[in-house]
Amino acid sequence: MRLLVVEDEAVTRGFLERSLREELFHVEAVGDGESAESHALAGGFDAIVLDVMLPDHDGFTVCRRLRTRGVDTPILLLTGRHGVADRIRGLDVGADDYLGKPFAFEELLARLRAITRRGRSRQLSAVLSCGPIELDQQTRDVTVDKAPVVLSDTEFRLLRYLLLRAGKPLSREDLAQHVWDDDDSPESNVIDVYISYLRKRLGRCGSLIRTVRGVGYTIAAGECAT
Amino acid sequence: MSDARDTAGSDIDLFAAAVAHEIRTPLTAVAGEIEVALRRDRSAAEYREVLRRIAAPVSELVAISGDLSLLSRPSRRSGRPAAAARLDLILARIASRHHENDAVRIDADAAGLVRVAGDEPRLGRAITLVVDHAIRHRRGHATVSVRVVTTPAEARIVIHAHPSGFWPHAWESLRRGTSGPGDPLRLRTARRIVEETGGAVVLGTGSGADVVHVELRRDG
Repeated sequence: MRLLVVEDEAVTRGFLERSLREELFHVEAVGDGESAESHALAGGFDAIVLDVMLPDHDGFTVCRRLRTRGVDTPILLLTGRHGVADRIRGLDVGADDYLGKPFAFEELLARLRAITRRGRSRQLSAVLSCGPIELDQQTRDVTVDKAPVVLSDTEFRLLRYLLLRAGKPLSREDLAQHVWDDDDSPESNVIDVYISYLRKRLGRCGSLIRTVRGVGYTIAAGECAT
Repeated sequence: MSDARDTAGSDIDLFAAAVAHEIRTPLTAVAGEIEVALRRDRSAAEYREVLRRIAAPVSELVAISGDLSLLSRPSRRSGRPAAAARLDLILARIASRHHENDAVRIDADAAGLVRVAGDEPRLGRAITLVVDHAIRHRRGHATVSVRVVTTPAEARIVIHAHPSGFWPHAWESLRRGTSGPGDPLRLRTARRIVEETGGAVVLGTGSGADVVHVELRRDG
């Protein structure tokens, strides 16, 4: 099993590397958020152990950026901050679990086993669908009625997020947070514009993306327009 | 009155959170190394290696407890400190800690023998903390250089990361100009030690990137 360990403190990073290797994990370790993102985007990891306090971007930001870029690898956040608000924030930005320092190594192993089990079941549903719309998270292919549809990166992330939460109304704020980067947070009318682009790209099935008055948008199975 | 109490309470919370974070990091390494060492039988050499590894985070915990006791007493800024420290020796010790790190260049010899006001071990701790903070917060693959510029009255340690500088938030407390309760404990400690000798840790600019100066009064 391949693990990416992201920890800026050299002593703790060294401890995690050695100890996890002793448990037969293949470990790659980096010390900052930028390296973490580039390694995670390159892919191939079964789980990421991500420290929250990093010298460049904090772990919450790294976690959210990875999720908006479609990285679905299970993430365990590691932190010296134990507050409930921090734990909630960690889970809200897309982490799978949260472990406070100092921790028992056995507990770290147990949590890694748990999140990689969940990760495997998530990978089984790599293809997300809603009616005739299908999106393959691994190949990034999108089809409507089996016919390929070409989407921009932002349109792809938007459709993917709608499909992951199909049937649930999503606010513009929620979409902004999960589809766009931190540095590139859109005005709400930009989200409306992208929804409009996406509907056009999906042709007659664009009608499956529905406006939820006073909330935002949702995608739900139903009849496509004729 | 109530507002003042709330502010004081919030300051204590922020300070306690900063301290807890500093302590948890070395504690994680110590507790983890012990737990993992005891998971299976090992040779005597392996146990010795574990103890050797634990020594560094334990030393850090001891140093943090010293920092906390320093911060817990009122600041002593009046008068000239009686002790004098050899700056070149302090920098040589820091350079030897980083001699295997290609990203750090410490020019300990250039200034020759320089005496500055202050207790040598304590000043050594302060400069170590600032240099370590700089190394930790250098951007990308920047190289951190440390050199000394002297005038008859002052010795200035210039810490620079080039070509890409430091992360913007790295020296936030210096940019603000005042210490806050939530500031990183290490920087706060360094500033206190240096300020008590009549010096200062300040942010400068140069070559388009942040430069940090540790300004020290020369002795004699």
